[in-house]
Amino acid sequence: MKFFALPLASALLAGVLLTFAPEHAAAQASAPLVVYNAQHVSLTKAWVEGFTRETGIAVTLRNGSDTELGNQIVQEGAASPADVFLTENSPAIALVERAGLFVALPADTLAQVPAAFRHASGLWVGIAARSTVFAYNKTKLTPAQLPKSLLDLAEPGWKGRWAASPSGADFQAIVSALLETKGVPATAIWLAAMKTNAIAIRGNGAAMKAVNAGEVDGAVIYHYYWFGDQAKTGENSNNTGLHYFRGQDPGAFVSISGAGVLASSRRSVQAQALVKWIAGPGGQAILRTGDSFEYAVGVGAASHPSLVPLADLQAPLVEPSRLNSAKVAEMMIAAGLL
Amino acid sequence: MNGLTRMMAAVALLISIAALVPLGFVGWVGLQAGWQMVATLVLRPRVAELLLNTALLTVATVPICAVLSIALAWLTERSDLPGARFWAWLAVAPLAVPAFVHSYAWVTVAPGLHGLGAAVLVSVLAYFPFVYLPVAATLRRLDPALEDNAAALGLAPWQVFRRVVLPQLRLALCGGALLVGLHLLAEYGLFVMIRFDTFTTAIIDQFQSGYSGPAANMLAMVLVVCCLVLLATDAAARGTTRYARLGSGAARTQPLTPLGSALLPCLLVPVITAGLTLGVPLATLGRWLAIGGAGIWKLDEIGGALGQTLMLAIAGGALTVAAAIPMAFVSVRAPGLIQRVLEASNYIAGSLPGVVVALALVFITVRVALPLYQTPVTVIAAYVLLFLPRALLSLRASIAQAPVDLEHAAASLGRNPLGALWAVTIRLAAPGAAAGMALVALGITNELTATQLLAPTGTQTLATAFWAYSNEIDYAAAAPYAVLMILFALPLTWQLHTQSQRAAGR
Amino acid sequence: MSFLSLSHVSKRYGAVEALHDVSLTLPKGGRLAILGPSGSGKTTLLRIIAGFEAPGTGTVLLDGEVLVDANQHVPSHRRQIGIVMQDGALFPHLSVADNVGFGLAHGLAGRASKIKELLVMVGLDPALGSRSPDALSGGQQQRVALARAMARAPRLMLLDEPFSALDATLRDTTRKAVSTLLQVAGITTILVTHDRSEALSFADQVAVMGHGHLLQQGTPQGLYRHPANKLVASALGDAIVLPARIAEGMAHCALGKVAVNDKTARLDAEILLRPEQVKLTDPLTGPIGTVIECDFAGPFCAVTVRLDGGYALHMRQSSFNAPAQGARVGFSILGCAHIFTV
Repeated sequence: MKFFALPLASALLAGVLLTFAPEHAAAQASAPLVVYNAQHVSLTKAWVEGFTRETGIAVTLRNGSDTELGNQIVQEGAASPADVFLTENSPAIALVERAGLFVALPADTLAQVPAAFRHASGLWVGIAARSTVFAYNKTKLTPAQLPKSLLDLAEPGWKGRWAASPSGADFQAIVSALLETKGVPATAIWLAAMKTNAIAIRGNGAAMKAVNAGEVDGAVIYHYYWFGDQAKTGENSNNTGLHYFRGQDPGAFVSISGAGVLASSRRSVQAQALVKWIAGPGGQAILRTGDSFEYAVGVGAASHPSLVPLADLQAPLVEPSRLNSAKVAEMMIAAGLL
Repeated sequence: MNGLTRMMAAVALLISIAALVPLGFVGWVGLQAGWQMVATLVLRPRVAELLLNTALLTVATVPICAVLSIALAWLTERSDLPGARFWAWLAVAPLAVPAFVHSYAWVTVAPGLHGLGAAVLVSVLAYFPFVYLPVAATLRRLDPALEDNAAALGLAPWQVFRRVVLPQLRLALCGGALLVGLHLLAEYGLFVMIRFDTFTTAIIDQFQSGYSGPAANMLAMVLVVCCLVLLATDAAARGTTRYARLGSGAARTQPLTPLGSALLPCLLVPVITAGLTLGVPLATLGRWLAIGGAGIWKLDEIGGALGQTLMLAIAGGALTVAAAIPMAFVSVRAPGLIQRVLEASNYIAGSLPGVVVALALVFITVRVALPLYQTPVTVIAAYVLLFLPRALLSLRASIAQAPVDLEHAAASLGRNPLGALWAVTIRLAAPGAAAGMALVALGITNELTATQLLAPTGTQTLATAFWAYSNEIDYAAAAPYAVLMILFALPLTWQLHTQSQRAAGR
Repeated sequence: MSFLSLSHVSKRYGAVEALHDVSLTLPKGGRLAILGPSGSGKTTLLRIIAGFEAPGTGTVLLDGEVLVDANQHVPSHRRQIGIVMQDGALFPHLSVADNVGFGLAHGLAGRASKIKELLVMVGLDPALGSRSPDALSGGQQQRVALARAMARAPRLMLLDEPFSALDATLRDTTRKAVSTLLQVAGITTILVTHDRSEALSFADQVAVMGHGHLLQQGTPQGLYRHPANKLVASALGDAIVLPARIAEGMAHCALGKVAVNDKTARLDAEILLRPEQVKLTDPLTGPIGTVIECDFAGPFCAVTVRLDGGYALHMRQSSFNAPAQGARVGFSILGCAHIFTV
């Protein structure tokens, strides 16, 4: 029927295009590894490029945020197209771990990372770490006026003066540490105070930018946004300084980025190779030399020389697998932050 | 109805049912959740806050857009403003700049810009052409005899404007305002960058915190209600009054009002508007391109994004037009109650924000149609649902230009029915189909939320790449993508401009 | 004392001269038809009187008041001049009653009953008031437009081809109704039209325009019988124009000797005969011609006769005694021929 020639041709064309679309063949064993990546794209790209260069194994990334991808894997269950899950923070990897979707990592992979930075029974391994900091505007605050603890920010005097990105997985990880260290009632009170006191800004970088512009006095973010901007133009951070809470304060929380291999993966050999590579010397070296400014966590691996050493941060002791992102989201919804 | 029309009607019915899937999803989610969960997730201060934000944003943005558009349209169409054609084009051109690129430019120029005021400012600059286009076209087509008559009946010029011109602009204003309102509800990138929370940003937050969960779906339900309220308001504001020109003679061309000594202040209106809507984004992009230098032109990455964008845009555009053909055909050839219901369901689906359609498709594919999950099929299906009305409008107009009489004439000249259809209707409808496809392709190029949620692993479009970089405040690396999106959209914007000029016979 | 007077009105649009030095006057209660083909400047003239446009030069006076001269221009909404346009130009967003009441102040006492009166006056059922204009026929729309213009008791009524969009029967009845109505109301009226029979039957004064010039103004009969030139002659009706020599009180032309109204002897005159002055007779005396075409058109036949001298004449002949094609015919002339003054 000629009348349908136009739409039919279009549909055919569309069909052809779809067939050649990049990841259509995702399910085949010879296809690239599928990595659900919640880490910064530029960092993961550097890792994956290094891995592919050494092994010849191709990798496709699906980028998203921690809890988005974590929940996505849980909902996808055994049908998940993902082979490897890389997170920014611990709660998301704990989420998938608790759902029983990871397969154990081999001993040689685990041996590359100190026990403090990996899952107790080896379902996932740490690949990088980041420290909570209070970035402050140097013209607005003197070192003496800085908060001594994250909990201080709940006080009325801080109303309208500090910012955070409550919608981000980073900040939610910090809240999960608060929940883990101080318990539900204290956390609920602190979140309620935060709703009153804090300016919500989507994204740590944007929050730091607001501090730099003097819109707020300070912001609770992770350290590497500051170092990254300093290494580039400094345009968004030159007026700011970093304050580390230290002393096992919840605000000194160091969040571990994790990597795990999905039990449903049909390419688990390659998937295991990728995780091993990232946790190993090759992957950890990229943290030292690259522009991510996240901490290296491998045994004997050095971090970027400009960073405050990981050991000096006096982070609170938190068992990463106990961090509960769902409870945090529920409490933040209740507090009106989400 | 002949066999062909019947078949078209059947296909149109199927497509309309598919178009109602997101709406059905939202209703189902509401029912499924039960009162307790709806109460916890919907009846809370945060939702009230978002509702207030949305209401304030709409109430502030729409009237400003209307006033600015009327002023600009009057100046470009009815006054002797020098270079009126040029200014008219510049009033449409901001559409070539995606909304989130507008706010990217503004947060660069004024880093502290945020909140309601900023959201209103950037929304007006990004969306006022939606009101300007129909208002200018109507103003141009208005029969000047009406204004002459009103003056002869004793009305001073400003009274003539208020009592005769303004009422005639009502449909144009309603249509434009509805479009702006729907964009305000659906937009994500603009408001995230300018730090203003709306339902769409909150839904994405929830999605990023918990994927396809009840919290996101409940907010989507409220957003859909907002959307329906907007559609109902529009229908009520339109009323039933007729605005078409009475009588048969051709309207005389409009006399131009001399601006005289008011020329300079009047010239400031289009100059400042163009400066804010085009000058700011272009200057900002220029600055970031200069700062970024050659390093930001990672050609393989940009080429990849460009290629994938084109693929999605072409495939989505073609499929959307193909899906619109039966509906357009039926609405021209066999209009009636059922056809109106079917068409309305397509429009309602097309008014839903991308995030709602995306949430529905994520929910459905991950639970029911896993083979389709994360495939191009799903994201293109979302595009079809979102942009069907655009294709429908273009197609319907062009099929209407090919009345069945022409087919009969072709038949009397010896063509069989299908041959006649091909030789006449298809040929006449082709430009409309092409225009509809271009509009859909433009929509797909700038689409962010549905693409983010649904696109297959590894997909990077110009919009998502731009968004990823600007999210990491790497504004320089984001700039090439914005430039490409603008270059892609410019010809289409030009087409819109000339089309509206031609429609008025200029 | 003239009620409306235009003196030396000119108007240019760029290089085009739309009006050239037009002067005309109209007494109070007078009815003037401005006749001319499209592009003759008649509508421009009307728009200048209404105040929609300003003339380049010239003055317009109404009832002793200066509407336009070199120094001032009264805007149209202060002129109290009514206008009815080609297709009525009813406001599509208002009901019929709101259209009629458009020019009446909202607080006016008895506004509703006044609207009803006006509708009745123009011969419409007041029940139509609640309708939308597009529910009315073309003729009804024109009546509403007239009622709307009448509502403000205009000093002058301008009718811009108000009947041309109507079909033939409706056109005649509507024209008669409007004509009677305006006459009863005693409103000074100007009708612009390109339809000669409309102009002749409607007005007591006709002004003929061509190429921006006012060619001639006068009574319908005077203009028809004694036009100043060929343009005016053919604007008002079919014309037979023949070169002639005036001698001995008669015109000598291709039709032989014809009585004239001006007996001054001239060698190179042009005379005008209206076709209805020329009767075909048997070919007995005087000039003779051959019927080369005879088209039956019901009550009459359109006959073309070629004179033996070479001229071709077009005339109507009652279809009951129309000659056959090829017939030889003679002529007799009714009344006088008109001599154009050169």
